[in-house]
Parts: sequence; structure tokens; C-alpha cells
Amino acid sequence: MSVHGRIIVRVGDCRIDVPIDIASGTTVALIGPNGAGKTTVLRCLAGLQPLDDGRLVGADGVWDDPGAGVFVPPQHRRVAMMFQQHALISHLNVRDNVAFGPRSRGVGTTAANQRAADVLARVGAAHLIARRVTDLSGGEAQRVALARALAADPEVLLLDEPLAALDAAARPAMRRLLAADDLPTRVIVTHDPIDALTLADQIMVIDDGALVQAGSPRELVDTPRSAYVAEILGLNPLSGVLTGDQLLIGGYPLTVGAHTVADGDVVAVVRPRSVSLHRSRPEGSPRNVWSTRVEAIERSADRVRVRLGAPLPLVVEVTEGGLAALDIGTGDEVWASVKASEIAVFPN
Amino acid sequence: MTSQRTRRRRTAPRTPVPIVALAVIAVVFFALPLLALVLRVPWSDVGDLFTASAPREALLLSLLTSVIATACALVLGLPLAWVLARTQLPGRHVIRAVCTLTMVLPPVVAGVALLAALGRRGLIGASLNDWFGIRLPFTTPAVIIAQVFVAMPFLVLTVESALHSTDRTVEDAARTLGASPWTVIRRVTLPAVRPAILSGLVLTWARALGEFGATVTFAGNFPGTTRTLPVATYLALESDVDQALLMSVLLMVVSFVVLVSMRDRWTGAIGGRR
Amino acid sequence: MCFASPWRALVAGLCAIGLLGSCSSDDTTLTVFAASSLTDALDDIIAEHVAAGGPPIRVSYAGSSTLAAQIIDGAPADVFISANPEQMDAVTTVIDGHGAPVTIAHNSLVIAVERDNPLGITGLADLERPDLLIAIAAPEVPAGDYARRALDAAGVVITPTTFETDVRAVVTRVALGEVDAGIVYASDIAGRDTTDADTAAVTAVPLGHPDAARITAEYPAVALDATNAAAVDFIAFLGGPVATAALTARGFSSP
Repeated sequence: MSVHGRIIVRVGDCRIDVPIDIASGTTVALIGPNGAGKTTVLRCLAGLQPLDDGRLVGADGVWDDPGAGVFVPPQHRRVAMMFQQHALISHLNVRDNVAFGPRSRGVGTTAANQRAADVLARVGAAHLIARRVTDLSGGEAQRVALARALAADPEVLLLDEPLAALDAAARPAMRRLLAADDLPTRVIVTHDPIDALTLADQIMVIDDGALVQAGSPRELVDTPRSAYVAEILGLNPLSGVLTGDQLLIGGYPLTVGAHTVADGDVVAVVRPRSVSLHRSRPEGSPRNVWSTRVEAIERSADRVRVRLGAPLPLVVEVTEGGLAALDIGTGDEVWASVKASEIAVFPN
Repeated sequence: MTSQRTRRRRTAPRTPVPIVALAVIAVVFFALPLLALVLRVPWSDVGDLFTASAPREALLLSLLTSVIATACALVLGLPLAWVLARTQLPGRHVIRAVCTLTMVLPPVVAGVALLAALGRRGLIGASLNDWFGIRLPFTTPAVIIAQVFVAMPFLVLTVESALHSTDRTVEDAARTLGASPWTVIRRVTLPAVRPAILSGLVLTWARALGEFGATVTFAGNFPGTTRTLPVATYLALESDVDQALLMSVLLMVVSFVVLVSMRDRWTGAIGGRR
Repeated sequence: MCFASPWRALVAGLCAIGLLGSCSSDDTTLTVFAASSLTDALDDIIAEHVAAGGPPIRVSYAGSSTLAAQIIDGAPADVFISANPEQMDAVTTVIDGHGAPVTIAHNSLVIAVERDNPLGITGLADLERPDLLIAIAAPEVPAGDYARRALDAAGVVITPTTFETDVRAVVTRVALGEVDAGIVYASDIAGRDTTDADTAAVTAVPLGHPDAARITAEYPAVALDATNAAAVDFIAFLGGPVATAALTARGFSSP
């Protein structure tokens, strides 16, 4: 379902004014620092927070228009929201949690339970069906929360930091679930630019209650319209050609981690902190190791950025102490390495 | 569940000795007078207690009125707790104070207040009497009113605090899943505060069962209609101490059985087993 | 809802401990346990006794049966004044070495009605009127027992609305207008402050039957230790003319 309009709302001391344009079937990521108003936008879309001004229109009609006195409450919008802390109902078991949506919409017990079983199987959580939600791990609980949202058969799925509460081991599986093609229109709130770039068709950068920039991941990475966007993205974008887990960038091969992107032209991003620098060739561990030269060293208030030359024009962030230990200067030779799992790819 | 419990036991730090010592003093403080009371009871006369009709009548009246009072407290107290916990009603701090004042008021004063409001010459009581011929004092409903008046705050405060501490996002989630506000209350919120409601009910019931001052002041004392077990016990102290002791032990045993059995029920609910 | 300050609670606690401590600290103080219906009269008498050079006196007022139970349990009383002979007997059969009990006063019964007697009640016989709400003390307490005996003596059968746990509650019921009439001690009404419009809202009506009028409460007093000269002196003072005058002023009759 498409949703468009403009959200104007005041929460505490924070005024939020964000235009909304969500195309049907797409994934939109809301990214920005904590307290920027991302979650409030999500709550407005869900109907948990009525607008003060502006209006929201879904494909099925006006959702919220304070000027016209129209407000469709959450239970009458085909929107399901998944919360950062899963928000499962603790006195119900997994099946009853997942069946809650269908039951609330009047589906009979048998049919609702069947639907719960189907959706749990779809998210790979069929074995959890009889468990108490208080006995679930964080990753399991988040899966069940996703299943519960999907079981309500929403037209729009709102996801508030779906990965933040998970440990590193549980994240890849949840990323794969969120990237599945058969999900409805998604709006994902995240503070992690990699997640936004890899999961979303459209990214909305929000800061201090206002929309800073909106566009495809490619547009944002290529032409950040402000230093702020470049800063929060803060990534090294690299264009290349993907074949399985091999990525060719200007003829230089890199091994990438698990992903869901089809072979072909892609954009890869590497966090400046994910690249390690060494005086000599590092032993053992990382698969991506290469020798290069220091092109420039830039210092700002609390960090040092080292700009590397060919073959990969990357910016590396190190601490002042780390730089002193390396004892390198502009023009020196240096070894660089990056783990495969630290290279994220998304379609060009 | 089991593994969790053993883990907790292993990692739990030892309770410091001063805490244990003071806790033991507290237990003795409660147990000693009760034990002394039990020891002093003339158990050879226990047969009289059950053959005599007066204690039985008073016990039945106490059970009946305290259960009805508890039900009334639930019907009125739950919405009150809700309003206090969940609305932005201006002046709700004042409302909370007014509605829980009877907890700290001497019960006899609570009874006088009820007379001033509902007595034959009372604020409303006078009109009830003149217009409808309704006279509340000296009736069984008056006993229930007195019990609700002093006991309901226990339910209100317990449930309100539980409503404050519940996770509101769970309710939000339920709403986005298509649940109407009523469904959310019925299937999400109330089950979440169920343990608090149960413990509030038990506290309310226990307070109602033991109620004396407000009852005797507002409802008076007439066998079968307003003479509850605490009133009967108090009167028996004036004439037949042995019977008074037997009746107080009877009151204790009934309360003890209910408190112990309800305690197991509601810890079961908190622990997750039903 | 909260303590004004922890200091106040602390000071209150210390005061309580101080009071307890004073029980045994002062040997010259006389401790009197007296039926609560005597409160006003006995306060007057003690003032006179102290003015006449008697020792300081502490009084604990409560129901006679409560006091009797406390004395039997070893409470440190020097003098016991009961509102009925039964409780006096209960004490004197248990306590060794007591003096001879002396009856210091009688208390007759009256019908308490609202001020100026709007329902025109003239005696016990009127209490049979079915439209009246009547409070009497419960038969378990002495005033209730006397009331029942008076009603029997008059041959009057009534259905009280409530049996109060003590006789002063009967007066309060009448004063508040919750009942139309109650049977109380004469001293309960004579002792009330008639200058205050609210508390004076009770009028005494005689029982109106000679046999019933003969039912009176008897107040025996005893020195619990016959060798305690101060206690024996006080018993003698209670039987003297000064005390009798004070008792009469508060609605009691002389023995």
C-alpha cells in the first residue's frame, strides 16, 4: 500500500515535520541519530500518535487529517508494527501471540492457529510454536515478533530498529528475513547506515524532526546533499561487479560476506573503522589484504582519517594512539586488511 | 525454567547476616503474639464454638459481606485505578489522595464520615430517607459499604502501581495488530496486571473481613444483620473471654487458609504457570 | 499521607517510651484503674484530693472488664473502681491482700432522646412503638445488661435496631439522630456539656416505671493492696462528702 502526506507533530520539546511518500511494495528506511524523531514518524504511520497538523493518506483513504477531523485508529489501518524490544504479550505463548492479530480481526481460533503455524514456519520459527515467550532468546523473540506482525496480514509493515536488540550472531538471519521479496510495503527505522543501504529502496535521512534528504541508496552515497548526510553515512562507497561472494572493483578482487544481492553491478560500502592498517603483511586471519600507500592524513577533533591510494581508494579511521604505534606518514607504504563480513553490498 | 532457577541460585549473593537477623526478628514479632493467642485458647471448649449459633452466624455474615465488599471494590476500584494510572486527568494526585485516605483514617472516624454522608441526618442519607424511605445504617448493606470504604484503597493502589509498570508498547503492538481498545484491555492489559489484581483482592478481602471500627460505627451491631465476627469477638471479650479467644482464632484460621492458598495461586501466575 | 518529619515520629516514639518508664519510676504516685463512665466525676474528685494534700494520681480509664483482665494479668494498679460488682468479684477472688470493696456510687438508667424530646417519649412503655429506632448497649457490656433488666422489670418488650459495644456509643447515636431513643446511664447525659448546641442535642427522660427505676449500676472501689496507706486513704476519700458531691453533680446517685 502506498502512503503519502506530511507528518507534523509535537512530542515534548521536539517538533517533527516530515513529508511522507511511500510507494507501494517498496522498503523505506528512516535513518538518523537518536532522538531525531524516527520512531515518532513510525508511530504516526501506525496511528499510535495522532497528527497535530498535516495529513496522512493511504491507498485506502485518509488516515489522519486533524484539519478535517479524520483519524483512523490503529486497529482500522492495515498496518502492523514491530517494536525494538519485540513487545510480545508475556502471558500468551508463541502461537497465541502470533494468532493474536487474526483473532482480533475476527478470525476463528482454528483458522488463526493455522495461520500462526504457517507464518512461524515462514520465518523459520515453527519449532518455537508451543514455547512461552519469556523463555525465548532475543533472536527468537524478534522472529516471533516479525511472524506476529506478518500474521496480521498488514499492507504496511513498520519495523522499529529490528536489528538493534539482536546480538551479532542473530543479525544476518533477521536481515535475510527483512529482505524477503514477498513482504508487504516496509518502513524500517534504523540508526545503522549499512542496514539502511542494504535493505531499503528509499532512504529518508531525518535529523532534529526534519527530513534532511531522501533518495535511493545510490543517490545518497553518490551525492550526499549535505555534509551531515555524508557524515552519518560515513562510508566508503565502491562500485564493482559481484559474482557470488567475489567482488571485482576496478580489477581488484575482494571477498564479501553473506548477502542477498543478485550477481552484477553493485555498490559496496566499507566502514572507515572496519579497515585495519599494518606496517607489515598481517599473518593469518583476513582474506582481503593488500599493500598500498598513504595519500593523506587528516585530523579532526577526536579522530584521524587516513586516505589510502590505489588499488582501493578508502578512508580509514584510526585513533591518534593507533597512528603513533603505526608510525606512518604521507607517502609511506602500508598494509590494509578488511574482513569479508565487513563489506556490505547492495544493487546499483 | 529449571536451569534458569539453578543458575540463579548459584549466582545469587549470600544474604548479609544483619538482614537475616532483622528478618528473623520480624517473623518472631508477628508469630509470637499469634502463637500466644493460640496457646491461650481453651481448646476443650472448641465444640461450643460450632454448636453455639452466634459465632457461626457472625462468621457467615463476615464471609458474605467481605466477599460482596471485595466484589464491589473490584467493580469500582479497577476503573479508578485505570483512571489514576492511565489518564492525564488534572488533579488526579488529589483524587488519589482522597480515595486512599480511609487507609490512614482511624476506622471509627471513617464510620463517622459515612454516617455524616449516608446516615439518617446525613448529607445524602437525609434525602434517601425522606424521598425513597431508604435507611442505610443498621443494615447489612451498611456493613458492606463500611468495608468497601476502608478496604478498596488496597486494591486501587496495588492495581494502579501495576498499571504504571506494565510495558505500554505491548498494548501499542496489540492495537496495530487490529485489536480494539476493549480487546487490548481484556486480552493484554488485564492479564498483565492479573497478579496485582489478585493480590489487591486478597488484601482488600482480608481488610474487609477484619473490619471493626467503621462497621460498628456506621452499621451498628445486630445479630444476623450487622454483627460480623470482629464485632462479635470484641463483644465477647466483655463477657466471655474464652469464647472471644476461640472466635479470634476462628477468624485467624479462615484468613490464614485463604491467604496461603491465594498466595500460591498468584505466585504461580507471576512465575508463568497456570 | 506521609510523616511530617522523621523527627516527629522519633519524638513521639521516645515520648511513648518515657510514659512507659514513668509507670514504675515514681513510688508516691497512686495508680487508679477506673470504669470509663466515671471519667468526668473522678477527674473532679482527684483534683479535690490532690488539693487536700493527697499524692499525685494517674488514672487509666477503660471498660470494667478490660481493666479487670489487666489487673488479673498483673497490671500495676493500686486502686480499682468497677462499674459493676461482677468484675470486682472477678478481681478480688484472684488478688490476695486487697482491702474491703466499698460502693461509692450508683448510676441510674434514663432514656436518651433527641433534644427537647420531639417524639414525646415519656417512659420505657413508649419504646414499644414500632416506628422508633432504638439503640441499647449490647447485653455483654454492663449497661446493656442493666437496660435489659430494667426492660424486664417494666414488662416492656422492644426490638432494638442496634446493640452498641459501649454505652457512650448509644448516646452518640441519639445525638447524631441515627436513632430516636436509647437507654443510657444518667451520668452519660448529665456529664455532657450543655453549652454546646451540637453535643447538647440529647435530653434525658426518666424510665417512668418504679421497678425499672430501681435497677441501677453499682460502683465498688477497692484498694488492691490493703497495706498501701495512700490507696486506703483514697478509698476513704471516695466515700466522703466531697467525692459524693462531685459524683452527684455528674449525674450519679449516692449509695
